[in-house]
Amino acid sequence: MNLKLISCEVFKHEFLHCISKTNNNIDAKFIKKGIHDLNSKGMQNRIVKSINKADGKGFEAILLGYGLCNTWVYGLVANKTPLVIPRSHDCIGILLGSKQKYLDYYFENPETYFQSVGWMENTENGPSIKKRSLQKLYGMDISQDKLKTLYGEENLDYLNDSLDQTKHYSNMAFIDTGLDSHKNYQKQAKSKADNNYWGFEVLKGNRKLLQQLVNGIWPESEFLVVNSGMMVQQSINEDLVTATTPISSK
Amino acid sequence: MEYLEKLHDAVLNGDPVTAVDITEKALGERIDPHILINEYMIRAMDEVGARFERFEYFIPQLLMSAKAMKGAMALIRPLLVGDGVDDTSICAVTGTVKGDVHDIGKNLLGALLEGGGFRLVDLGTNVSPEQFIDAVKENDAKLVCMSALLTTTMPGMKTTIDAFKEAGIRNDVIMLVGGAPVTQQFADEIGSDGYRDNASAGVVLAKELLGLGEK
Repeated sequence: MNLKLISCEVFKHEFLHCISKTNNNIDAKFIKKGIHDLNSKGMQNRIVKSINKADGKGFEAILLGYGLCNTWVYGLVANKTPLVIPRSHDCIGILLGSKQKYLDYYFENPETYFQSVGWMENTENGPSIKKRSLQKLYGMDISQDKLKTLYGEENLDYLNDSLDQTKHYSNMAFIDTGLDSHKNYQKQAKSKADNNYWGFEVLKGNRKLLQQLVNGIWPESEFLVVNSGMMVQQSINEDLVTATTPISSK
Repeated sequence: MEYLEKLHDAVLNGDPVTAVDITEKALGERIDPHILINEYMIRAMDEVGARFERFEYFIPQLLMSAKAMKGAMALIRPLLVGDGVDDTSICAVTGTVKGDVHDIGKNLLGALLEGGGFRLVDLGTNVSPEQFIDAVKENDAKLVCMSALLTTTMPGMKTTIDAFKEAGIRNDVIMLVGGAPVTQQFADEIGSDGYRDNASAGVVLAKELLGLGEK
């Protein structure tokens, strides 16, 4: 099969490995992780731009290497080419190879901060994302110096505490998909956890879902295939997403 | 009493020191605390919310205004109880649902609810349906606001609403939902009373549904 893969760069190591092991022809495009910092529509627009470029170019399907992050996927319409999306809450479930495994671990350990090679490797957003990011829009990207100048030293602790997104974490889980780089991100993750006085553990990842995606094996329980003319809609059930007819064509 | 306008300005501009000073002076002159709240501070926080929604105010500014209001309220609230005047403000219960420990959005909503005149009971993060129900019963709350940041945890909102139904108190409260993964469709399907994508609009919706303020 000729397949187009459009994926978040957090899966780049894993996908390149999976692509080397498939018989299908995969044309891969990786998009910056930083688009997660845009609002839902902004994130969707960036991905749709790549989908449109591939649509009608002879691919049998366009594979999307994304979870439901940021609600970006809702409202997405397949034009000439079917779209295939993993039914996963976010990239953590995909890296663990199962959304149930993710849920089981998460609800046992809700104060966990997850890391993977792809997460640690792709931290630079670039100026076009930075200036449109939600952090910028809501003034959460202000430096310590600027906060001090604007609000006074006496209010710094209060503001930092209020804006600290990591204060409730007590544990770090590094997902090991067996593809760490020469930079040894697992070791870096451990040291980050130590610096925060968090616990640390390594979770065994599983490339199964990513391999199935590029192999063209898309069981309904794990993947949503959005056929031409259909639209992705949120589901409150375990299937997470469904395909429906867009309102305009009903 | 022209100086009271400075209380409004101190809350609007996020100046906790001035807000407390003016409140102390006004209370010393036996000015009715309800006037301070309703005519100056709530008016200021409404404006803060409106500016935030127009992206004219950033989150740090909103937090500073909330701190100014909170400082003034710390002086006023004991008088409302101590003088035998009932604190008749409507109670709102906020919390991030079970399994979720993220709270920036919820805290902003809480600050604006307090600023909007609600009596706030914040249950924090990782809140079970039973904790929401107990808090509503104990505080005679009329509003429940649930938050979730993760797609994994947002089903907890449905579980909570279902638990309210089972407890037979679903129709006694307005239940709102919010957070990054939540959509209007989700809010409708789980049987909530409403959803907004930011804290300020959430307060406006809460007031509308409770029959307070502008429609």
